[in-house]
Amino acid sequence: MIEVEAIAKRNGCVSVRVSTTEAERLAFWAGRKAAFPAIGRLSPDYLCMDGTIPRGRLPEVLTKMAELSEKHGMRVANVFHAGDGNLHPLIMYDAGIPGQLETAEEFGADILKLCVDVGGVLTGEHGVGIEKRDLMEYQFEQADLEQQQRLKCAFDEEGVLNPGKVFPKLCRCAELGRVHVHRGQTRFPDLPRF
Amino acid sequence: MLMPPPDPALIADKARHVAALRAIVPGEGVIDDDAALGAYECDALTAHTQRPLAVVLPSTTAQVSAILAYCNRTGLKIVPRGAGTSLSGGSLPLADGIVLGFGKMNRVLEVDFDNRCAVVQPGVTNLGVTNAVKYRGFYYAPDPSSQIACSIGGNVAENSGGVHCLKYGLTTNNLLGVELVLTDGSVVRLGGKGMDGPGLDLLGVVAGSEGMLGVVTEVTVRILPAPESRRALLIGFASVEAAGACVAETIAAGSAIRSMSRPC
Amino acid sequence: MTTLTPTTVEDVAEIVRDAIEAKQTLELVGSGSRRGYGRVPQADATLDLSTLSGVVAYEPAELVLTARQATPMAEIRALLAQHGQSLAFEPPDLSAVWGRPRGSGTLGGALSLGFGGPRRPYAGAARDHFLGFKAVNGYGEAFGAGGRVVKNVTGFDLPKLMAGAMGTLGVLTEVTVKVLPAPQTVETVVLTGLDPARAVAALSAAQNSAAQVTGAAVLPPQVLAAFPDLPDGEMVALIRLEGVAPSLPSRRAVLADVLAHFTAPTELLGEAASERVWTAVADAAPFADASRPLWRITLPPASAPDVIMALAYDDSIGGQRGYLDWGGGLIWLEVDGQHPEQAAALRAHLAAIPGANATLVRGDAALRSTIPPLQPLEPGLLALTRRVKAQFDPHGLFNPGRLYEGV
Repeated sequence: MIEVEAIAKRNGCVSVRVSTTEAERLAFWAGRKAAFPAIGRLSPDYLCMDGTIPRGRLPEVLTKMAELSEKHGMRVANVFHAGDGNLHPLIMYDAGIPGQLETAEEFGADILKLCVDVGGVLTGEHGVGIEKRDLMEYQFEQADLEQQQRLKCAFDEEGVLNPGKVFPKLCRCAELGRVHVHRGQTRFPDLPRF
Repeated sequence: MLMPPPDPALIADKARHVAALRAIVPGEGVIDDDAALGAYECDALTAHTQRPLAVVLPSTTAQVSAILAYCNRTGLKIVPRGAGTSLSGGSLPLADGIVLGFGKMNRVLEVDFDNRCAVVQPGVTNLGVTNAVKYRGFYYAPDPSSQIACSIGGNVAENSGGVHCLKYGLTTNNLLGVELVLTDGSVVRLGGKGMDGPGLDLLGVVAGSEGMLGVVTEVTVRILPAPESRRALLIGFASVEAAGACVAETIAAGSAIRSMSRPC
Repeated sequence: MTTLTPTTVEDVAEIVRDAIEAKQTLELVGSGSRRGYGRVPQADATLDLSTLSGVVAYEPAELVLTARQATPMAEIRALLAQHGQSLAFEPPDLSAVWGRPRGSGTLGGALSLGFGGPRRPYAGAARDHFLGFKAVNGYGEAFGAGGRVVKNVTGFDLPKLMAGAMGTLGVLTEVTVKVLPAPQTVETVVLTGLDPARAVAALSAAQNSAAQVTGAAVLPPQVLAAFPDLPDGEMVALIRLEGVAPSLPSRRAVLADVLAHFTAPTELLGEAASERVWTAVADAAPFADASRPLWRITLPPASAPDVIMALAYDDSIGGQRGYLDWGGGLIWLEVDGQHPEQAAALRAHLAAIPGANATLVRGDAALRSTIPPLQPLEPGLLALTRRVKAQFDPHGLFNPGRLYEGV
């Protein structure tokens, strides 16, 4: 505790408050946990994003996010678990105004691509679902996604469980099982053959 | 949002499918009237909606097994749903599919302090697990911000985290075992009260599989004794950069930090 | 037997595609330290991965490290130590158990085996610290999964599946692990004068307290020769506390309070002795450099006293020497003779305990060919396991049958 305070002071903090009672500790956290409802008072609707970045890239990502905010003409507030690099940008929009949801979604996609660009990932804890499904190809190669879908085939060959989520393309298991025939030069001729 | 095109034959046959499902889950366990289905048309990603063919609310593993076998045979899609708090649309329904809801499977089956675990049904809320064990000073570590409402089954599907995950990990790191129903209706147990079950770590891929590999009907989670002293520090910084540098240095110093957040 | 030595990922992919055409199976070998584990390796050719070595990226502040699969564990440990970090799952060094020089394992091997050390119940196993990888599947395609950040739920968590798979699903070429600051200090409370049941109960009380225990073991007199730092002659129970130094006195006091119902602590081991003792606990040191069958039994910790009692009274399982880790959740047990019937007898004692499994970690080739070294799976689970294997390695090229028949 004392050590954290010293580190904070070295890094130029402007205030430090240590909780002295359990009630006070919960009150501090209540501030964090109420961040989402607080945004609700600033804007009629918001989209909550969930990318993760390497922690050291945070300042750069925040700067670029501000640029994206300007580009899309839409406000964004940041709530994050800085300890693990998990960002929750809240994009504020008004669903009552035609086109705003679409703009918010484009803005969100740009933020998540930014996370991937700096070595992070699309989702730290909310899951891919349908929200980030079409961005999966931005983070993963086709072979990566095919292997994930093959795992699904081991469990759900008919594709009846929650289809349309996570993966941008629906593949038939039979197609995924096909081997891409290899007719190249043999570089390891000492492999014994029949 | 483009979803797989529904199969019109399945939709045309709704009455027959509903009757078959009612034979498995009698009474109010099958919802098929349009107005009532509206309550299930989206999760917490409210921008996208779709009414399902029907909603089925099983009470037992045997019912879940029979429902999955029926759907697998007929091609009806299955969208599992816990409390519907997914922010990514994980339980957005399909027009030619059922929503499989776990609101009725919401009992804490066993609390085992000697083995530091709890066995619960998937519909128990995240906070419900902590509430069941806190009289002995224990808690369940993953604490997503929706913990009052979100279900353990949903947590397993999404591998939910929370503010404590820096030290205690996500759901997957606190999950000891599940009972899993496969699409053919067969039931397997992965893991249990002992650690490191034999063979491939299938439990590890079921966690976070977003309801695409199987349907979880029972969950065994690790519970932890609450540490004696917990303090929170509220530190103000003039700039984000300074705050970030402080976070990095604090973690590198190895302080027993559980979480660090930056409200706006 | 033919040995193929790839130096790049492309080489690995090429070899696999050739193997598909030639219908040849491959045994994946890093340093070879774990060849004694699982069913006896049987393949047409050896895929020697030892040249795929070296740290690719290490960012201490990001708590992640990426290395090629066969990077020696000794190199990883030394590098992390320079930055005050470590692998929190305490990967055991079991080289000596399999008669190899200590420290001969690789990072990829440790992940493929998947074991965690004494911190397993509190900080997880290899699976919990394995963030991402690049690999070549049984189609001869390079693919990857996971990422280089600690918090990530994007796509299926394939690193979990690769951990413990013993190379049966693909050829890992590069792996990323989570690293954490090494505990600032460590100490060990030593208890004596307890029988096994009371010892496990005392450890349970300690783990259930607010003391934040990170190690709980019970060592009978027969294994104490491997622990020169401990009092000799009678059974000891060990409780480890780790963390920042100022937190220890209050946690020690919490511990003393709950242990008062059992016995007074005999001794408190300092940092150096604690390091030695817990390394020996992790590495199954009492069973090093021998060839007798060695079992690793995982079970619900509270069941341990009944199980060891039942085993001790079973005359068909001779010459038992063992100890408990994980507060009872792990039993290391060495037995005399390479007798197949012992395996059935041993597993029979676990049959009534859900979640209990026995793995033969060491045994001669004849024994490992006669009895399944890994706990047999229920038929439904075995069928599912085979389907998963087939989706990664449809031709059964990689380490065929290493885990189970057909897997």
